[in-house]
Amino acid sequence: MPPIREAALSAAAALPQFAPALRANLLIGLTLAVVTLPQAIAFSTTLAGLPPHFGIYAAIWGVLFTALLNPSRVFSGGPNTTMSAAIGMTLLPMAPQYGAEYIGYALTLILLAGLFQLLFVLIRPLGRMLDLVNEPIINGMICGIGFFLIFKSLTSFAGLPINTEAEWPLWIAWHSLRALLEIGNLYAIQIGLVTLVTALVMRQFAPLRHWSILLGVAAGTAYSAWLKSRYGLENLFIEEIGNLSSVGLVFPSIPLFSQEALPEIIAMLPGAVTLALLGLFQTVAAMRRLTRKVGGYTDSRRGIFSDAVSNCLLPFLSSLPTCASFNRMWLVYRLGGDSRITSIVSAGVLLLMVLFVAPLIAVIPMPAMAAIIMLLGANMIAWEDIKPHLSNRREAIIFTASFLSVLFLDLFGAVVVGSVLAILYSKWEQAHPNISVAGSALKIRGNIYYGSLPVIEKTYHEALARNDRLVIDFSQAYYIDPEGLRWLAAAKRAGRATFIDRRSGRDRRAHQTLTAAIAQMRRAKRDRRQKAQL
Amino acid sequence: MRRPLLILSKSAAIVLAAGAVYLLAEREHAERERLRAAPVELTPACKAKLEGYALAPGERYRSPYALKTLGTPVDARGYSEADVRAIQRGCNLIDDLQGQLASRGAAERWNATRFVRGSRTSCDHCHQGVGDKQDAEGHRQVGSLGLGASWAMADMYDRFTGLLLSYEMRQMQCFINSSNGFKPNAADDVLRDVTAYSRFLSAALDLRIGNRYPEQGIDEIPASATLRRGDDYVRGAHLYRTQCSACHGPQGHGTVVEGKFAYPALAGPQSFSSDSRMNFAAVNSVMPGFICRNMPPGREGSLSNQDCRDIGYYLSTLPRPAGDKQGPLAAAWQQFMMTVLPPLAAYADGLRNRHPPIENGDAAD
Amino acid sequence: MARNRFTLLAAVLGVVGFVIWAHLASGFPVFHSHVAAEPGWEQFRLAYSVRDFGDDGHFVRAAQNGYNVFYFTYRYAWRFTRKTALDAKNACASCHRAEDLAYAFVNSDRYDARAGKRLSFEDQVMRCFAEHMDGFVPTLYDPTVRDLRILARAVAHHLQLGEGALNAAAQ
Repeated sequence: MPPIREAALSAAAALPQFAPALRANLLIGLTLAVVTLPQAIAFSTTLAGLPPHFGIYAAIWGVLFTALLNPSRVFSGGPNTTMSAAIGMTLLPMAPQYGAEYIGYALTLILLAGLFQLLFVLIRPLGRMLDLVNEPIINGMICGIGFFLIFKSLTSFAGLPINTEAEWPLWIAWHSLRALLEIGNLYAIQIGLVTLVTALVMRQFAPLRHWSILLGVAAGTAYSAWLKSRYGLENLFIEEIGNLSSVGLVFPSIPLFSQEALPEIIAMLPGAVTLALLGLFQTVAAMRRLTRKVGGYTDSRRGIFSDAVSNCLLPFLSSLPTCASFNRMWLVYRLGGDSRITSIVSAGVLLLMVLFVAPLIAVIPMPAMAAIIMLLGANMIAWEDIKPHLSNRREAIIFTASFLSVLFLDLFGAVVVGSVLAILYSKWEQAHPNISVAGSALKIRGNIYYGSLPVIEKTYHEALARNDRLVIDFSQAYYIDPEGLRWLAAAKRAGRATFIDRRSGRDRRAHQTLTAAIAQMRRAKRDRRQKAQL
Repeated sequence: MRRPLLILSKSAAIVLAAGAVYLLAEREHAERERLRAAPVELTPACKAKLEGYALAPGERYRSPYALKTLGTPVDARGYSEADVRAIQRGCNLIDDLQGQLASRGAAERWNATRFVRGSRTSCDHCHQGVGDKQDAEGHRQVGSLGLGASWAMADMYDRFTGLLLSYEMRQMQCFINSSNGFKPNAADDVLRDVTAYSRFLSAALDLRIGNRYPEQGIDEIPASATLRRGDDYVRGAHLYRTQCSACHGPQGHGTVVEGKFAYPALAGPQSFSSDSRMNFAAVNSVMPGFICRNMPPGREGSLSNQDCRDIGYYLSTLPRPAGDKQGPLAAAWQQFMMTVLPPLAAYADGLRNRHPPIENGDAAD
Repeated sequence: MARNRFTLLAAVLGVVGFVIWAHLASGFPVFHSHVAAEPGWEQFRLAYSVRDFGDDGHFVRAAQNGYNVFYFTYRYAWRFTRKTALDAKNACASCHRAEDLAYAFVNSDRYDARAGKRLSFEDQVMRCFAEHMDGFVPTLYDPTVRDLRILARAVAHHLQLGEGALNAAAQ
């Protein structure tokens, strides 16, 4: 078939050109792998309540699938904090964590979310509506989720069991902190603090920034190993990642769909919608942000497509769901890599790591994972992301509302509030055109439609009360809907308003020049006739 | 040149902060350890009960109750000093959850106050007799929420949460539902001490694992246990006024004697939430079951099944705090109702007292 | 554009094909959430009359999972032990009988001199995994630990053990 041959030939022709870039991409892929591994494991154990191989497979197969399904050079997907937290929060009341039943429910949840995301691919207008979720909303949610991550990891940090029902996040924070201080496992707290301190200190040094999390985990693991040699694990009661030797190349899995589980699955649907929307919001926002920083354009539909298809398939491979990660994409771009190749390389490196270094990963202590989550949560609260929104009053309100909704409502409520805010905000913007009254001239810049008419008509009548004749200048109104036309017609019939010509200033000047020229020509013609008559 | 100094100072600050957190944690841990090792001051009810069951450290434990009821002694494993202290603390927690009878207040009860919304609620308001209600002959009251029997039958499937609830989780549920509070962590001493006390009760009463004893839980009264004529608000209000309000107050706010609830609140901010299973509107068989088996104290069994359902229905109409799962709007509404209704109802009652009902026939409210 | 679409379709088919291969042809065991039936369960159930306790399906299913964990630890609690099918003592049943579990359950929550504190049954299970199963410490609320406790309850119910019951050896 010609297309295949064509593709193969062009790939073969391009290969020698790839070679030097390939080596650079290999290094970048390696960096990506070591950055992603501790995070992925932490997401699945601390946030989602799933065994660690879920995070690992998300970092391998999830990254690989999204790289293959999205042809863009800058897109890079992988496991995500917010989506893992959403899984944990949705399933907490349903089954004890890490168990077979819980895993089954989680796989079903991810599959439902993937199918919901598929709807966004197939129905184009839905995809467009995602663009309405603007930056203040996304950044507000991310900021709130950053705090939420810190609060949620406090109990794991202290080696304590979590509470088994989702609760008001701010209350979790206070009582988890008290539980940590009063009944927490002191050894776990030591390990967690060692990890935190090491990672934070390493971050101060520029060349070690990317490696700070890995170094923190290594320090925590080393300290935990020393404690074990001194006191013995049975006296420490420190939880660790656990045996990974049964985790091979793939771990195929079947989501749970049984008649008995149906009430729970139906109860999970809001959670599935939340999960889907969180993934889509983040993908669209990350791609938008990256294209703005990088220049060039990438259609966010590709990101949605790769997300949706991966999330429909990953539940069958025991993996967490994926979405675009701005941090990873920015890292790859800054280091000058091609995101597809680096993603494939990182997936390959992780696969080798899991197959050969599993015994080393198995002894990483859970408090270290909790410390990682805390660090990532703190990273999400970035002042340089928040500051721009606080300067504009409307954006500040939207940002604050989005932020508080994450802290006071659960994630589903926050997503609902975010979506409603997005729609309201866009409508508010449209419904308030710029109306100025200068003397007896009423100038409208913006839309004249049913939403903005109340404001326009109010100003119109106020202006009419002051002047008996009014000039309505709507030459800069770029959209007038039928109701707007009806208002204009009524204003005309009332007889006290005249409309300004709908030509731009330049046209008017050109028109004046033209009329002046025509007048001059007529005058010249008349003069010639008069001269001829004389 | 300044940059290394900046890095150094930042790193030092991080290390110091971590050290401070750890030292604080160590101090709190030491305080807890000290409390665990301290001798326990029993409340009067607990003193009587535990002495009655001969709780003492030793190699073997022999229950006087089992000896009396079975005739032959039953030897069980004995308790160490630490176990005895835990059991004593557990008894104290059930009897006086918020430490009103404790010399050092709530600290002696592991600060359980922070997990309970009402300021005077205690576990033995519902788990009467400090979790072990018996009549004068030593027969255990049916449907009296006995804690020993609860331990024997734990890890049951719970139809409300759809999970197998361990004993710790059942206690946590209790904190959310009945005590109208938040809940402690699964590893908290509050839960462990209450578990220790419940296990001691099951040893003292010679209960066997997995058997269903009649004093366990509540003997629920569904509609099918009545003539199914419907639950009547008017009858319920009348019954409440004549039978219950002398102790529980006309608005259901309970009676406080010396800072402790002599008779607990059934409505208002100190009572159980509307999510709780004690609320007739949530589960309509539990409250009537409780009333019929345990109320009025001393005259248990004097009310008929329909009477109990009527009272339960009436109680569910009184305002109480919203449950955790009902959201901020419901919580705000319930707060509003709890603030507004009691004075209104008191005013209405005052009106009725000024204009007493007509002689013939019962008054309509 | 057509070439892009074609490569995209090829990628989708490749990925889907990989998933199907993993499930059907790869030879790796597939994860199901249902409790698997292991040999010996029916006899165990009859012998210890597991059905009678609570008489509800959830409890019996948890007890069955506990049975699987107890007798086939290396397979069902593989996350918490490094032992494999080839090791000598690779299951709880290698050292304990089901009755031992029940007696340990009713005698738990007592002061342990070696640990210097009161240990619950779950604590003891967690210690056993760490110390004797060449393994790791499970979480307190992990279903592995819960189902072992439920198995202990089921056996204790069959033996009609009370709190603090002493077995013949201790008496």
